[in-house]
Amino acid sequence: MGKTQGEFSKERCSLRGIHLLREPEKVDGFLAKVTITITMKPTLLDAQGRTVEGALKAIGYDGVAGVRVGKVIELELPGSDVAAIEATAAEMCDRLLANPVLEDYRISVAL
Amino acid sequence: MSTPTIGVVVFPGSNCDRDAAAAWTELGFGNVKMLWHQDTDLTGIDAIIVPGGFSYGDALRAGAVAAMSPVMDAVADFAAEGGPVAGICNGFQILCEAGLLPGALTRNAGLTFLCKPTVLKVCTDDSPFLFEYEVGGSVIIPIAHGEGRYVCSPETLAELEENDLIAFRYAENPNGSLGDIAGIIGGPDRNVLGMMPHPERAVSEALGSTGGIPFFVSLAGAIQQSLNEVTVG
Repeated sequence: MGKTQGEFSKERCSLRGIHLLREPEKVDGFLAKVTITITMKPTLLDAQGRTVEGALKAIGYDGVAGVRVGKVIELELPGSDVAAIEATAAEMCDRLLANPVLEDYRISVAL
Repeated sequence: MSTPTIGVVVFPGSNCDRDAAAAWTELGFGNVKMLWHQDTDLTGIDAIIVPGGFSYGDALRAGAVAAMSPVMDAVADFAAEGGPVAGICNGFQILCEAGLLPGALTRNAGLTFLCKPTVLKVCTDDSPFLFEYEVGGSVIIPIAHGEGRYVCSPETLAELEENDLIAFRYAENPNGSLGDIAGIIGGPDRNVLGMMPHPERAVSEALGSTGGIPFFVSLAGAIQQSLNEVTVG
């Protein structure tokens, strides 16, 4: 009763087998730009990728193969500790941004 | 004795909530309480339906944002205690995203949005939502989804099959779902059901099919039985 959304979603992590890593890092005045790339697992059919590949072939790119359509999420996080920022971004992916059943993710951090 | 009351969850973007509520009340089984996505009080509710629609505009993935909303915390507790919970269409996607059912639903293999009647094979009747169905029989219930392709790991699929947790399979797979799966069961007492087809749209000949009626009859029976047990006990 009266839980905040943050408390709520922390409780639910156990259902998805996610272990929360840590508290948010201390703010030191820096802002890191984080780019998260999410793609369908290679073992799954990427229906969009297959369709786009067909369209590329149709306009003459006969040799094209392995087209995968994913999504890119950009965000900013406070701090300058790259490892800590990557860990926070990975936690975001595990909890919300990516679905581990369907997707893989890659994280890159620019200070 | 109290009147059986189902809770129907409403998210921003739900659009089958009123249909689900109407199916229950029109069939004469009891009352409905609409639950807003921020509600956490389920007092007096005997079963929950997480309805179809496009919660939060399917942002990120269908059901991903709704799965993080406060009402789903209460629904998870309710399910953990054995309370009947059904997720229909977007509701099935939400239950998977919330971890209440295994696997996930993703873009139809053919990419198109599919809205049509489907023939389903009934694979089990062992659930509060299913016992009025005949195992091995066929029912017609419509689908209406763009992201209904069920996907899970080989280990999860083996678990579903070994434990008789597949509720319905498509007679003709419309969306590329693994194992032709249209609906699955989970929860501690087989009390959580997720299915892509819409039983609430199949409760009258006027709607084209009555294949959804046993879903509601089963649930009414299951609630009545638990209410009787409470009264007797």
